[in-house]
Amino acid sequence: MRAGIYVHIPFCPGKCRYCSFNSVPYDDQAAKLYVDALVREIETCPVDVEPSIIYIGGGTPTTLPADGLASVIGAINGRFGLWNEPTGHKSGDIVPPEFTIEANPGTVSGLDVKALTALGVNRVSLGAQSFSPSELAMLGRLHGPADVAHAAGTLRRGGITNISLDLIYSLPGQDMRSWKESLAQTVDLNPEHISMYDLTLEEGTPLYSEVRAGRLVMPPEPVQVEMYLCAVDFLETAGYRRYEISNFARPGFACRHNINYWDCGEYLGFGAGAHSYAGGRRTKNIDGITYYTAAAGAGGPSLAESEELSPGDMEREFIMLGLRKAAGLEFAEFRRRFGHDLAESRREAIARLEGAGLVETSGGRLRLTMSGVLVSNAVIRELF
Amino acid sequence: MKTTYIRNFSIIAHIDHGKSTLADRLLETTGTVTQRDMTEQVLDDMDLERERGITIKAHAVRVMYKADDGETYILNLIDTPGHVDFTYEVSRSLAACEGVLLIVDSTQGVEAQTLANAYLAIDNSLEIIPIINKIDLPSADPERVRDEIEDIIGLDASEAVLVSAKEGIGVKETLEAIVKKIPPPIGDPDAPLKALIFDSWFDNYQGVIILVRVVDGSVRKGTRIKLFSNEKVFDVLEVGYSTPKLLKCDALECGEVGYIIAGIRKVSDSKIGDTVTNADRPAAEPLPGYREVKPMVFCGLYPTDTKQYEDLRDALEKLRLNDSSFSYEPETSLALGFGFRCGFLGLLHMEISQERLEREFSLSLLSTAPTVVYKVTKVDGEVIMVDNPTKLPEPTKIAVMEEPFILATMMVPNEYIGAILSLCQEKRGIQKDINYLDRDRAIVTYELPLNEVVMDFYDKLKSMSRGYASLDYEMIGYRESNLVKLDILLNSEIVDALSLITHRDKSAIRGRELSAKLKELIPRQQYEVIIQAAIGSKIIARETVRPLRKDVTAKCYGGDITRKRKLLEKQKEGKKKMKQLGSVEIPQEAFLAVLKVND
Repeated sequence: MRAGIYVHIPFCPGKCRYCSFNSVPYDDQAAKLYVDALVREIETCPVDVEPSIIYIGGGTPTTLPADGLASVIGAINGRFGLWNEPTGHKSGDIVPPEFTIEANPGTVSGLDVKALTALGVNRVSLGAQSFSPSELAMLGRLHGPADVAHAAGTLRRGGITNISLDLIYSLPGQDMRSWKESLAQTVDLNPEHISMYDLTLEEGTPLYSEVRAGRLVMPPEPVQVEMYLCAVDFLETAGYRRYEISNFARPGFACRHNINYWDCGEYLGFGAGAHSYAGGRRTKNIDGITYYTAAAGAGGPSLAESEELSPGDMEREFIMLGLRKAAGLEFAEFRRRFGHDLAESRREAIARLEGAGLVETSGGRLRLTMSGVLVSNAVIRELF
Repeated sequence: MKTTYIRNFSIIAHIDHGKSTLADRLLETTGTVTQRDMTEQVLDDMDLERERGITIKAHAVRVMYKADDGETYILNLIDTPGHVDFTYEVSRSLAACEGVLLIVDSTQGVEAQTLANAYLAIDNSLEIIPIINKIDLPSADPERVRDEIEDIIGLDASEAVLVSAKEGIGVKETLEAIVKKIPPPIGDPDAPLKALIFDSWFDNYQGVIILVRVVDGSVRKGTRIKLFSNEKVFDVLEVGYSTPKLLKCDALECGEVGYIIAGIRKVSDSKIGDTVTNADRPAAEPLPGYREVKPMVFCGLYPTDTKQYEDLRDALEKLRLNDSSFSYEPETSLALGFGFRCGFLGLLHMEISQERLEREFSLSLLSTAPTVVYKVTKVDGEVIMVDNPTKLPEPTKIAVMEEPFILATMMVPNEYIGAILSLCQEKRGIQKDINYLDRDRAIVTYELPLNEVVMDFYDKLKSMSRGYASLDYEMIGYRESNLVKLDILLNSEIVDALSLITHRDKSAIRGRELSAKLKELIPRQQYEVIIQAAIGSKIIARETVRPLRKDVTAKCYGGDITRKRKLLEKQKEGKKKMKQLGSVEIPQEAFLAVLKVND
């Protein structure tokens, strides 16, 4: 069984003002205990998989010292034999196995990139978010616009050949001009991959309160739509292909780890609050590093959530996730998995949505049109 | 047993003043109901009654009580519904008694329904025993309440019984007062049978069971009885009394309270207030006070799922078996499909009936806003009663329109009088009287159009006075009024289920408010929704629900999948509950939007 591997590192150098994740400031002692717990969870993992891809996310995983990271990777190698097995890519595929780590542009300068590449890391995802100093300040980011270029340079010189940048739009105070400027500066750095998300206001965050109180104002909805459409145009012109609602890549650089999610592939998540999907069951580890560490010390991580998916749940997830991909979902694959025809069981809904110009079917696939992308939740609900 | 040892009485009170609790204590103390059988509020046997703490149907229970004078008395407790919707039923229950216990909450004092019920008792020439309840509470002020009973109602309260029904204090004293003060029934045992029907219900095995008070003569198994209102004749199969379990007996004699089973198939044949007599030796005159009860408030009830139409019809039929004051007839709405126009005594009756339909028959119902019955005289002289706005004739065909008015009596703390007066003014009220009772309270009397009251009057009265104002009302008849039909259009199509009849002077503001409220209630959808309010062809308000341009989840990775799927599933469920009108989806609440304006 092939599966993706996700490792969660909850430490962060600081708290961003839009972040609702239960992340904690880095602390040597806590980090050491956490790494021990992670190693134990990996070593005692009851599921045998053939890991093809690995993703270390956070938090800011690079806050962890190289030796801590080395222990975790060592454990994965020991348990699953990561580098000794075929990587699972199609024959003739020259792309190396994907091993991503997330990093904060502000802390890359102090990073031993050589040590990362020695561990097998070959892809770095940088949270650039914006290239406007005022927008970055409003978000509570610790880096400035120049740090992103520095970080990319440092990573390239250290041998990282696959860099992804994250951007956020629909920011309070943001206008088309500043968004286009951020897009232009992103493309100037020539990353292999770009993700862009509209700002999600999470309850309980400082940003949420300020928008609620009216001290900050998000751009009106038509402007948000224009920002998205403008970005799609701009990035595609610059040679990036949109392969998912929010993700763009140079040919051959689509993120395999994330595609695995949208293909309803299996994955194992290690660490506090990490999610797994294996054997038709979605589970979530207990949140909060102290609980997680304590649970691991007591013989294994406890689960906060566990849900056996019904065939209906799986169908709906296949639809919801499949339509996120620009290529859409494959009718044949649906039939193979669920034993009946999607085009048949949702015939009326598909006809209605096609008539409204929200989906299209061709080449044995069902995909969202650009109008459909903008209201994709409504489209998915129709097909549920 | 001689009538000397019979006492027939009722308990009357404002809502929540402790009527049912005192009834329970009386049954418990006399050993009628053992502690073990005792569920709270024995007499309120419907789940709904118990949950809401209100009495909907009348009940009668026979209690044996050995008094301090050494004699054993039969006490017949007739429990009555307390709400204004059921005033007629209350008056008939009281007509079956010689006395009442008038309960007043010692922390609240005399309220509008206390007053209304006390007047009903006085009208029926009953002995009134004031009971001051809840004296165990720290905020109890029995002396102030005693003064109020004297000053406001004009009763001698010097011998009022101080009670805490909850703690069982004063229960014995109450029983003694019943025996000593309430006169025994007087009647002629040899005269032709006259018995007053004060309640009836349908039993699946025995047919209709009627509760009666025998005024003259007697009734036993085999008696051929005749009902005065419809001249129908039945053979009595069984008589008896309730303890509250039904117990057979040989005969119900003059002065007694009990039940009659006589093979009556329909509750509508045994109307409350009607007189039962002996078919072979009939009384010349019926007992006074009978009248036909007519529904006052109407609304459309539709199954949310059209497949439940037949189930709804069966349920309405069953409900009607037990409640002849409720009416229904099929109607069709362009917007909602097949349903029924249902009539009720008032808003509470409507609310309770809907809840019973949904709960006891597992139906999911959609209700239109309540309306009253308008009297329309057409140009050709024909007079029609209109209980559904869509049935109103063309304006050019209407000569005169009349609407029902009520006389509302409100007991209001002085500090809220200003607010209440402007509320009544806003509701087109005509002030009749303001009577300052003391430094704290006043009785405010207004004539009000019923159509304003069925909307949101009671809720507003309560919220403006922080719950302290109380209301009672009676119908005073029809009056000519300048009324118009207000239509709501969605994307230029009239939605018939949203039409309403309103006073012309208020139509513009009502149209604007209603459009604005609908804009809030109708979710944004793929296409623009234009909401318009119109009188005839004249548009008086317009709102737009902008189309949803963006409904997309930006991030959906490993940890988000389950949550997002469930969110979409939940939204899908919510969508199923909407009504599709053309291309517009309307949530069910929208059909009651008119009640929610200004929320």
